[in-house]
Amino acid sequence: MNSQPVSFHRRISKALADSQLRLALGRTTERFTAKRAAGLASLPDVDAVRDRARAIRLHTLSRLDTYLEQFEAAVTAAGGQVHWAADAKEASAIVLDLARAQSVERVVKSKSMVSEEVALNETLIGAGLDVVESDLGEYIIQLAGETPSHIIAPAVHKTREQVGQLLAEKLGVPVTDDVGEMTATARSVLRDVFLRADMGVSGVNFGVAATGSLAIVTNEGNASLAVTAPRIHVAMMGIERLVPNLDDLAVMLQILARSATGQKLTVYTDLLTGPRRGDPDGPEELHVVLVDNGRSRLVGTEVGEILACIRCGACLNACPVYQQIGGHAYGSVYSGPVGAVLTPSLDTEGPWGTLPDASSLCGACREACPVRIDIPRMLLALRARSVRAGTADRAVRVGFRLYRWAATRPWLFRRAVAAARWLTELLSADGWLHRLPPPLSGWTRSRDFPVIASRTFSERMRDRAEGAK
Amino acid sequence: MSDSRAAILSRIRSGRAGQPESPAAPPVAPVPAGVPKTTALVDRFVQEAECVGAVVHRATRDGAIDLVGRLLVDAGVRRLVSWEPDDLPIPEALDAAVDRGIQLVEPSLPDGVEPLDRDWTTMAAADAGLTGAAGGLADTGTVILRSGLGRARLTWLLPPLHLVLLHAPFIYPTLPAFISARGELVGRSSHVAFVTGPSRTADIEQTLTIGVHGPKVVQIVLVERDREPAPESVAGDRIDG
Repeated sequence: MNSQPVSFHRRISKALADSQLRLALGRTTERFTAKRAAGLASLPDVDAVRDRARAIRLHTLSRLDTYLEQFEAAVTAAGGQVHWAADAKEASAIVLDLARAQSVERVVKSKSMVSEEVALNETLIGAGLDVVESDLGEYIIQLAGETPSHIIAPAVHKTREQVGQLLAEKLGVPVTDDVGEMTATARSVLRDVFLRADMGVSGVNFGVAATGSLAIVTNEGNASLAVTAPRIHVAMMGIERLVPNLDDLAVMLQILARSATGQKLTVYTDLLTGPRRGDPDGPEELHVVLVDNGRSRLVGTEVGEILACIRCGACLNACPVYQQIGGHAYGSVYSGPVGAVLTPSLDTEGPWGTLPDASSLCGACREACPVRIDIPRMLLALRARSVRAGTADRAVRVGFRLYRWAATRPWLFRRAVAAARWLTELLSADGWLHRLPPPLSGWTRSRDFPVIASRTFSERMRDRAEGAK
Repeated sequence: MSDSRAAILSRIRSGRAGQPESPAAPPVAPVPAGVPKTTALVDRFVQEAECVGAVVHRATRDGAIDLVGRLLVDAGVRRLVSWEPDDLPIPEALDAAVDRGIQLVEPSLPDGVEPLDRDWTTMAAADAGLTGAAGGLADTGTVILRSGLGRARLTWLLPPLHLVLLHAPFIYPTLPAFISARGELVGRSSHVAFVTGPSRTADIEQTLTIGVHGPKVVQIVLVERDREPAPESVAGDRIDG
């Protein structure tokens, strides 16, 4: 995963100061949220479908090893080849080896978060291959030399004017702010890329264990073209992306598009089973790369439930923190609430200890999640873990230790509260403290601190008890 | 590589050890007895397909033969790429279109196990693609397309106009209903596509734009049962089934 050297707090401050970004985010997340609500409402008995979808995911994870073996056998029986990658390096190496063995020069990619996770493009481009992203949003950020800032809308952070400028600069077309014109430009450039590519690399939304089928969805049709025109199709998937059978797949597809964009079904929902069988087009070879990269370690742990995620992006749009800071501030491939759990869990060595702090634990993500993943519970578990491991911020650790010391000594606690009340009343004009002095300044960097109540809870209880006598 | 396989599976197994297995999801409920009558189903299909930007033409079988050519001519189509006539729900429609002066490009794409030459330029230059649907989904306005001998996938992907023929009795209420009735079709084709409207994107400022990589226009000719008996099998079943 690409780590960024700047601290999380610095990235947050930068994002908050970017008024363009906040405007773009505000509009998009609001629109996504409204569309999702309408999309789910169009499903009769949506709660039952979500319960069923959750049951399917949890069941699959609870016997993931068996389903992986079944899936491998089914893909092989359909004429495909399965490769197992323990980590990011191995995953990229497998694809590069395939490309070299087949004298591949040009690769066309359709959007795949797992390929971002393993930094596949870096490896392939570094080896001299020509790699082009074909999802419009991914193409834009590839031209800009950036990374995606949203699971399903990678260029959400860019305004139309910025995109028009970028296309003019990189492709030599006239500057425009007409989205239709920009799209037509991308269509004509990428059309050639599809037709000339030797290898198409895609992600996978769901793998079906019983049949070895891959479900891949796009609205643009870019995945359909990328897995049809080139002679080799490489599908990269996380090991957790399975469902047992086609009936289960149908349930998942009913909620995926609705939760992601509010559509009832994604425009192109492709079910691919093996390479072409004598048909006049389609790939000669199908390779499925199963990527672990930290996932298997999570099975059966307190954060294992995050493996049920179907990457719809609904929790990002629902999250009040994501709405303010956007995806890049997280600094990791996966952003938002799901990223705050997934990133530090998959990459335990990385600088991700503070990501789980970027949440008010309001529960909007759990509410929005189509498979009802309890993200707040896991954020708390990760926070507790970093305290136990001693990697939490020093001020936080010392502060809570002091608090515990005082809170377990009632006489001391009462005196401390009285002192704090006097001090906070002294410092505040409006009932809130907007800036505390060090070492407490960390608290007020992103939130206000209330003045201590004039009568504390225990004082009021004591008054009541005395009044009742 | 096999080392990684063993390592991954063993890590999963040790994580699972001592954990209860989560029960399998209950089987998908069979399509309820009160399935909407076919006319209601067809109406719903038309409404949903139009809602996602497809154009639907309802026709009788005889009407459809002529309609296909007329629609293509009206759209200014000169070069057409098509599935083999026997893979179209109405094989005569193709000849009727050719009779109107439409040129058939790539008249027979090479089927077979020999590697293909993969020169798609002629196909990419076609103005329209003609296919036949293996089914439709009423609640989403979706047409279902299956690859196979005589049924190139690029037909519904490359040209700017996709014209698809669909028999009304092949319309199912929902995706789960189709899968539970005709799921075996999925394993029989290497590519089964559920296509819901024309290609679209909202990647720039969430502004909806139609026709980014796939067709800009999807026209569905819906063939309703008139004087002929209901078809016995799904379009394209002669292949690899």
